Amino acid sequence: MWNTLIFQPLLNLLLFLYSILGRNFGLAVIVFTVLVRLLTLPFTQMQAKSAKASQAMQPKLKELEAKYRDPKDRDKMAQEQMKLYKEYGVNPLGCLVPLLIQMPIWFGLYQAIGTALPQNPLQLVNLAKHIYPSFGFLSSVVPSSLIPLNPRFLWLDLGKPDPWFIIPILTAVTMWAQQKMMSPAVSDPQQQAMSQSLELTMPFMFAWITYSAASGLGLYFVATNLVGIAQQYFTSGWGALANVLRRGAGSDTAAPAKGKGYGRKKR
Amino acid sequence: MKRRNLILALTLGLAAVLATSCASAAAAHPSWPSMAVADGILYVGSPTGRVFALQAASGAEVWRFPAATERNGKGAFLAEPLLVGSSLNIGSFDHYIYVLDANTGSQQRTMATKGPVAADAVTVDGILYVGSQDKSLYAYEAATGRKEWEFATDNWIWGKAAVGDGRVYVGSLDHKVYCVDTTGGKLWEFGTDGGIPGGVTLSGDTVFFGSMDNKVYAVDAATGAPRWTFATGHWVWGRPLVVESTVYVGSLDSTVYALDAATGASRWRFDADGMVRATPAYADGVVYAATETGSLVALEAATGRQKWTIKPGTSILTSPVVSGDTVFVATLDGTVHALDAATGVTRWSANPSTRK
Repeated sequence: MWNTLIFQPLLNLLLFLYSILGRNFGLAVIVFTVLVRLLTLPFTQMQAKSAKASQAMQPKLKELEAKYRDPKDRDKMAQEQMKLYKEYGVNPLGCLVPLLIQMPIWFGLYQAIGTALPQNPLQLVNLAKHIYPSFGFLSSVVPSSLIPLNPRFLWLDLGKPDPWFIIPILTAVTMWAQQKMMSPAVSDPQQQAMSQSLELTMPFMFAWITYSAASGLGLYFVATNLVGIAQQYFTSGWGALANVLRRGAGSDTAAPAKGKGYGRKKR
Repeated sequence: MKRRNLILALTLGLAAVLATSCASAAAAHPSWPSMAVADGILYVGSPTGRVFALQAASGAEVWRFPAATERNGKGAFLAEPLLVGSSLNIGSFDHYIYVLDANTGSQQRTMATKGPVAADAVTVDGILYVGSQDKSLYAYEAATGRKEWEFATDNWIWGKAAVGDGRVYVGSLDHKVYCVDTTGGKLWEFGTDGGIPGGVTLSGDTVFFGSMDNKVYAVDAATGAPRWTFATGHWVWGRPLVVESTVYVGSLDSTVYALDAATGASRWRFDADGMVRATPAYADGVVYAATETGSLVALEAATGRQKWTIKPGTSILTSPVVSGDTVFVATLDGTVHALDAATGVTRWSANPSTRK
């Protein structure tokens, strides 16, 4: 079920892109990532919309929490919260559903890129099980004739880790930037500390993954983060990243993050 | 706040799964076991980086390399062990070809390449020929390990070379089969539409091999001119086995084919229960073929009729070997099974890698 519906179509799409993009696997991974990000765009937009609405209602939620501090009023508070959610048109699970829908695609992508570049005979046997006999409408190209793929892209052998560690660094930096752009303005110090710790932990974790994994996967992470940054910019501007960039430029006039459109020139 | 925590947990979970799958992929063994039998001893190359010598009659261990006192093995041993006099030659994924004393398992010397060695070695006239994942075919003096020459191709070499009449034949994943002379000079090359992952077979004046373009090829050994091709439904990875005038070959389309060696015409076909990656074995009018789904079938060589079948494991990618009235088969988990060649009844089973 997983193989038939998710993994094999993604793997063979990747091989198809490789065949039409001058047998350049790096380019195929980048185009593949952009295509998948475009396909999941409605879900990402839903997620962003839900997050934005949820941010907007935060002050009112805080007011409710202050008003119904007594444990006896918990039920009442829950009722009021539900009213608030309705009023703002927010589904409490609104940003989780798109995330859950996208997750299988991320896993499938990850698996497809790892499988397309076998490094030993056992991995080639695995690839043989999932490759389509033909691309159907494009009968002149037989997927098998593409194997083994040319793994060279720029300075990388995409089947092996990056010897110069540039991809892990780019993965960490782009992931951090994307998270920074997405992070909402928070005044609660505890929440802020948690948010900051997450912003650092995730990039480090993914940098470590790409440090030891095939650089083709790292290239996918970098590409997907860059597309994410572009998407986020057009949805809500530079967000909290603008603060960091200003501080980096030595400006003393860094203003607190103001949510939507912050740091982005309005036309 | 709760929702944020849930997103955090999901994201960390995703990262953890990715990290785990990376780690397990790195830790997984890159190959299947390999086997060869000679003089009552079964030599087994293990994906765990050890070589074992077992009594063919009982499975009792004679020696292991590296010795049991050494905690760590070498790189995975996928190449078939090759006995030359009293020395056992076997390539490893750690880029070396090890030469061991066949009686004791002690290391005599190594020969270095620049990539993992998955290809079976072959020796003729004191020269050892072996391909490497560094894309080259090497020739070494078997007695000393001195490199004689190296012939570069454009992709990995995983298959066994064939040697005859002063010519060496080898397939490469660059889609070509090459013929070089015994000094490493290229005589001819033959291109196909797919990589050549398996070995080539020289029989008479014809070279036989399979390709990832799904075909079996027969070409003139002297000139490289094509004689015939036979199309199957998937990659042909195992080395064609030629017995008298018949070519026995498996395909990943889950079929064993018997072809006329002179014309390529089909004599019979047997539909197996899974991909046939390994080279079939032959003895006394019976062809033994293993499937990726874990079955071993014994087929009458003349008709393709099934004599018996057994399923000793979940996957068999290693070529079976026959010695006397016993057929040996190794499953992907490293377990070796000795079976009665006439009936398929198990005589003994052992996994030397897990034995203390």
